[in-house]
Amino acid sequence: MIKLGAFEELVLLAVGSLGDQAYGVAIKDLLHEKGGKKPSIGALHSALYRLEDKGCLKSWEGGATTERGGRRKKYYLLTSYGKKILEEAHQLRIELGKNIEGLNLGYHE
Amino acid sequence: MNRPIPQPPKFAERFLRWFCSEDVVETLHGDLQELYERRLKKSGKRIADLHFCFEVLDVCRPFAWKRRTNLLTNQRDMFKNNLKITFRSLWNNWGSSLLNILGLTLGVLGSIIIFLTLKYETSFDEFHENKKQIYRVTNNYYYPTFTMHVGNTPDPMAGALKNDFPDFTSAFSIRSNFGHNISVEEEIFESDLIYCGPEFIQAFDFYNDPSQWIIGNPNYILKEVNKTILTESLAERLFQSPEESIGKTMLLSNETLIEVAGVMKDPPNNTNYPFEQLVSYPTYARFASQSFGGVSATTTFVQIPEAVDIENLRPALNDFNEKYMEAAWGEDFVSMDLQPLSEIHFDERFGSNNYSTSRTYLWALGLIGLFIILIACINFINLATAKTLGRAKEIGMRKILGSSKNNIVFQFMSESFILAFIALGLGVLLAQLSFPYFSEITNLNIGNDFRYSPDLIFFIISLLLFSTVAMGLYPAIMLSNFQPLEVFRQKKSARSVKGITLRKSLIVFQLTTSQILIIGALVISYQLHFFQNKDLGFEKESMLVVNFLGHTSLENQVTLKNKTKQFPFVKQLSLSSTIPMAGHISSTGLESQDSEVKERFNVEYIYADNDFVETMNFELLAGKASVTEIDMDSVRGFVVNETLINRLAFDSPKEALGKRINVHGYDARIIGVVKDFHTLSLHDNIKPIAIAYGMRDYAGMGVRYQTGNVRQVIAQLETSWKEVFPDKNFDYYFLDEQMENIYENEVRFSKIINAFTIISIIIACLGLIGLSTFSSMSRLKEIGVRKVLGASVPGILFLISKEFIILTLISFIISSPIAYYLSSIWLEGFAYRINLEWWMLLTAGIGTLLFTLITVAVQSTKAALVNPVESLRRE
Repeated sequence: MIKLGAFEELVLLAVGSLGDQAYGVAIKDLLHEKGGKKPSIGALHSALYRLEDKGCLKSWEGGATTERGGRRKKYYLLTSYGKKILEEAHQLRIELGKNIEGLNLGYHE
Repeated sequence: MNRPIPQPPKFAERFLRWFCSEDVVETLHGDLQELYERRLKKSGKRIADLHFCFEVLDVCRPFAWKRRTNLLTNQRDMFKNNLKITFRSLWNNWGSSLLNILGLTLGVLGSIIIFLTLKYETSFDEFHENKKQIYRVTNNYYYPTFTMHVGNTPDPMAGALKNDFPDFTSAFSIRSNFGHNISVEEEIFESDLIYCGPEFIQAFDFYNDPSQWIIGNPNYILKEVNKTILTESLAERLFQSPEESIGKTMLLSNETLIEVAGVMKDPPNNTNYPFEQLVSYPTYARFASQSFGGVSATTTFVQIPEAVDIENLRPALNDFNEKYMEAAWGEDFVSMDLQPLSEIHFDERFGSNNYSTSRTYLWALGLIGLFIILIACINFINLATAKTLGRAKEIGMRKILGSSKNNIVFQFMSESFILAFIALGLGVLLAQLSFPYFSEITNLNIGNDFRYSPDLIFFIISLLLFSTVAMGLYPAIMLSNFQPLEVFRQKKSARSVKGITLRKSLIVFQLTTSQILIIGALVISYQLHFFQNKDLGFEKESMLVVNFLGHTSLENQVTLKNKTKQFPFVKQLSLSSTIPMAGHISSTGLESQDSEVKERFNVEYIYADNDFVETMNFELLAGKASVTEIDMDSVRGFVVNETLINRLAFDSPKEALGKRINVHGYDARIIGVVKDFHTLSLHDNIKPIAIAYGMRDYAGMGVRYQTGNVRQVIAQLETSWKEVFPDKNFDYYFLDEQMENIYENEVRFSKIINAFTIISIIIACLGLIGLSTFSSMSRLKEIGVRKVLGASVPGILFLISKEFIILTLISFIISSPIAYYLSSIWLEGFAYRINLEWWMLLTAGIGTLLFTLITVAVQSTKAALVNPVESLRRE
């Protein structure tokens, strides 16, 4: 199992939930909107590159537009490996969390 | 109107493009641009620009950096490789590496010590907050033959200044007494004390810093009579602790009882007015003279408001001078000036309570430091260029494999860097260890001041960079210029010609520096020797001086003299107001009606009894040195010196006899003439001196004793002193010991120069060892062939040494005139000085030649003794 940081996990989730519209600014916005966090753009990109290296994400470049000074976007997509990692991470939480009395993680067995 | 859309700052974009790799920059820049446009709408251009810049810095993370994967690993490997090669080459040539490191270590040691010395010397009185506003009042007295510079002023100066210049923040006098005798419960101590008022404390901001004070408020204490403030260390010395000392009393020079009312922290060492004890000014003021016509030990300072320009004060100052000083001394005879506080330490003319140092001397020291580090660097350059042949192939190979010139320069610079680094580490360590000794032998009092202060660290780092570049640059450039093709075709001779001339000139530079230092050291020590052995006009050995502290009655003084006369060890003894060369001597005006010279001039004067001339061993040229009548209020006769006779334009000592002179208001005849003798240090010319007979005002008793058991002499003297003065303490000194202090500065300078001369000689020798080893080893084959053809060992020795002999001679020719010039400048500061003799230059020359020859001979003998079979066997 690879190590997955807490921030990386969030980024993976965000990319996954954005479908095929996941690029830098969109991910940043989503994290801000849902999580109230304001990740710095550098930290975000750094995490994205790391995750891509680990194989959790794959990417493709969009076409040139007139916005953003005509610069292309780089879209990210969650790979199946990425999904598996997320599941494993989540599983771990549940495993650890279920023994805590009064903690409700939303999964009941 | 079509306004251009605002764009992010260009420089930030350029920076982004500079560090970002190609595949990242597009999307990153896009994202940043998007955020920028969004923020532009929301918060305006300035905020957006600012954010953009921050975000550019934020994305400057490793993932975005240009990936020079290929190059990067290679560079890292090359760096490792360079390092390895460096250590390998240092190790393989461990002999020469050791010489280099040793030489450089010594150089670093020398320059760090010089740096700290210079730092200390330039820090005097720099710690006062008002230092720029404080000036010392100085006076110049213009005598026909010389100008007397005096840092002290007549007693009423401060009061008059305060009165005439109400704008001044303050004007105040202090009076200092070095090694003053204080007695606490019958025990005598010495203390450096200053009489001062609260203004001194305020202007020199001792009081602004509350931590300076432990007990007491100086604003009150120093205004009262007979109060004193001790420094912490004196309080501990006298009364064990500051608290204990408060309220205790002590006797000043056996007569004034003063009470300790405050304790303060010790002032820093680096002040021109150090003290252990402050005594309230009114304690002195009661005895102060009211006349402008005398020179006293009072120093006057003024504090001038920041807004006042000192230049604009000059006219007013001149008026003041006319009004007070010239009125008392005569027109155009005296001038007044204000000297900035920062100048006091460097102006030897006016002196200070601490020692003074001339700027020239500091420059000389700085230059010596620079030269020492340079000659150490030269060792490296010489050895590195000499060894080029050995490394030519390595460089050729590197170049063939694709090294650029820069790579090779870098390699050699890193070599010199590592060497400098090791040497610097050792040098700093050595400096730290040896600094206390250095400061002790040079009397600098800064033994504990070796701290890694920011400027010392800065200096060390600059030294590292300087020596790296100075050592490495030339060899690096020279080596990197090698053409691989030539190297492998074995055309080495054509190439090294330039290197040889350079090496030779560098050796000449080293030897020249050493020789100049040797000559300097010789001249200085001979001048000192001259000082200590010059005929002073009297005998300084076996002379003990008993001090009459404070007020002792004349009757008792005479009783003591008569008692002491009975002792068998006493040859002669006399009572007098001053002993020559033992410190202060009074001066006053002289007029004579019986001479063609009518104007008043200054003379030094002494009160003495009939035995004085005989006791001191002055040579009596004419007349007698005694009077029959003794009087309380008038002088019965004067014994004068030759200088005074000449000054009064009398033709011969005989002619002067019987002429009337008026000294210090006393009119009497000249009864005797003595040969000139020195009363102050040999920096100054002998002044006219008048010894007054008849009137008795004595401060001490000079005892000429029979050499032998000195301890017994002191013991017996003390017993008779106690009989006469049961309640006073016995205070004495030996004249020859006292006189050692006069040339403190010269002795210090001499010691410093000697130390650095030795360092420079060692460094130069180390260089010579390295170079001669190399030059003899590289000529092994030649030597072999010569030996086969019948050359003798001495012949070969001469062959190798010849080169170095010629270099020494050249450096001798260069150094002699420089050293001659520098020494004569230094000697000009002394009224009595040695002549520069040719043998001093020659000694230095022969000395250098000798140490060069010995160094070279040791190495070349080895080469000359090698069996030709060994050296010629392999080709």
